[in-house]
Amino acid sequence: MTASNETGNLFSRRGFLMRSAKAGVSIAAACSAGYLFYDSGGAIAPREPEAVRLPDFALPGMKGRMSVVRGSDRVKSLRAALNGLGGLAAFIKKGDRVLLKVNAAFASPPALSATTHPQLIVETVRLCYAAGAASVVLTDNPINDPMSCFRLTGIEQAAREAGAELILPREHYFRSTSVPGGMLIQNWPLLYEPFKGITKLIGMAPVKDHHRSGASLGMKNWYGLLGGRRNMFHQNIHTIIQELALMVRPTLVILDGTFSMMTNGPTGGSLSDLKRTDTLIVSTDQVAADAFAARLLNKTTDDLPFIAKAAAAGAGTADYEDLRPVIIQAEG
Amino acid sequence: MKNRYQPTRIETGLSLLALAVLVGIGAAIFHSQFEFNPAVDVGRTALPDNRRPAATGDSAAGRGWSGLLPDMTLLTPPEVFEAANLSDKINGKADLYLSAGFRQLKSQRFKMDGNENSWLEIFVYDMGSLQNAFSVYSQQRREDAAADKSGRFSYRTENALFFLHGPFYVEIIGSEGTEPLRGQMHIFAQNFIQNTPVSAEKLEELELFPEQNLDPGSPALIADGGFGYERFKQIFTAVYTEGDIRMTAFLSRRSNQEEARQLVQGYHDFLITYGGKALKTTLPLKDVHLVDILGNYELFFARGNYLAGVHEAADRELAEQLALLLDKKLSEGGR
Repeated sequence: MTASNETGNLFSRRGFLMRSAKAGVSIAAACSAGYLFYDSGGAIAPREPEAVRLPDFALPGMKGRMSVVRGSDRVKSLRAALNGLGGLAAFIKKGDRVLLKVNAAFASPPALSATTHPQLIVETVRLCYAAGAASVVLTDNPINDPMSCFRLTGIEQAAREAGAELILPREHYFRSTSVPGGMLIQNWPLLYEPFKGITKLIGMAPVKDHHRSGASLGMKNWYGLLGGRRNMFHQNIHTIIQELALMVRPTLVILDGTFSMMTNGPTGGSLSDLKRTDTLIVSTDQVAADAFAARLLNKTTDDLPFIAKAAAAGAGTADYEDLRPVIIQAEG
Repeated sequence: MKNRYQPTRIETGLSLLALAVLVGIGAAIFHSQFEFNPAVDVGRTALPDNRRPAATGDSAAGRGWSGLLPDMTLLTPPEVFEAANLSDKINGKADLYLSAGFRQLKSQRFKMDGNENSWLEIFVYDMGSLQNAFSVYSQQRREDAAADKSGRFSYRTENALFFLHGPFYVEIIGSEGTEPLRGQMHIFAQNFIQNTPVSAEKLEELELFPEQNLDPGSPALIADGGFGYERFKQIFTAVYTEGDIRMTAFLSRRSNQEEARQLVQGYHDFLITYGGKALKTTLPLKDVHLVDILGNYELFFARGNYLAGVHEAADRELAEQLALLLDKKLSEGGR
């Protein structure tokens, strides 16, 4: 049996079956390949129908305050710095729920100054409670395994000793956030759960060299609130720090330059990477605090473009001298 | 004669058109794979993959190095990091390794028995070659480090030991600077070297630096972007001190003479672009350039497949003397 087309070409029933079979095999192969590459998760929509934004934790009447203490004892320096600003009670009121954003990025010992020093944490928590805080929470989303980081840095023990709650990052603690007008932080996962109910925010960071940005200071510390593949931001490091400063408006920042990591940052590793700089900075202006801390690393604001960018974006002032910082020589 | 179906021109044309469309769609999909949109992925996982323990199927990672440190107790399981997630371990320092040819990092922590606060972490970076490993080793070398005998390239500080073994750059970081920990670091170094066979490699470029006034321990290798010039890759450097004048000699072996000459010219143009002033020099060197920039002298030339020179010299005469010595060494051994 044969069939013909308009031009009179013929093909047989056998030919028809053969062609049908080949077409079937082709379709099956294409479907199999498609199934192989099929991603059941797909390009999922954000889990949160509405993105979150952190509230502004800055106190309106406390703008542009800064105190710098010269001293070798962290605890004494902290007390002196806060006293220079009217005491922590000027910032923390009865019933406040305080979050300390520490730097627990690496599972390294406190002696290496790559992370927030536990002594400083213990004293800050103590002072918060003394000022009437109802609760104090510590958190960070470290670069390394969180449990190891908090344990080996001594931060876990410090939190326990001082009676603060330590919140480790969990997958479901992240919510999508965007920085208005931002280029990088758009629909990006933010460690948000620890902020629920928080009324005051204090950033606590060591003063460190950073291979990519030149320095890791107070503004870079907020990087630890991001989730996802945040390492891609290192390609645009100064812009991400600027956006972090816009994303987070803290009540206070505390920069610990008792020892500064001068080289091989941000991890360091050798005690010889550190220099005793005997300085502790407390400020309500995170840009000014970073600008001052740059000096400890023998750098100027010109060496650290993120400072000018953050200032230009309205996160603070790079000219810390305008704030007339209180300079204190601590005992000990 | 057997009848075969002959498609018409229109059918053939339509078929080719359909195939072209399919090929186009395939090409577009293929291309889009390289246009990574992180927004698609970040909502899926907020925490990085490295939060999982290392796969035990990987022999070295799974076993860890317990056998190399018999007197210490395991503190944390071994971890393995590849290029894609190296920054999950060392954050902003990852670029230094990635630009130098990084392949893999294995790390593990051990503690002293009976002392929770006395521990060390071992980092073994597989850099693929001795030259790559030397690059990351030399660029991080601590200035006040003490010489060590854990290999030709090794040094120690109060709480750490750093050394090279073939393509491996090894860091052992102690939580404190105590004698027992330092002793364990050397035990590990010795056992690691004995148990890790590597092929014999030499860094011949290091032999080409003149010995006179050379600061021992200063030779280094910049893998990428040497002196701010992006085309300067694999640049060996060494610091020289005469009196209170410090300057840096540099050299780099290129694939051919023409490439070396082009780089010399390119560096000259780069310096002029950034405010350098070209000066005349009577030095008997081929393709030699002398540039005064920000009060320092840059003197550089091509010799065979090598480009070489003196960087940031405050004294012109000393720079010229060093350049001549460098050229002599290159003529003797650098061909």
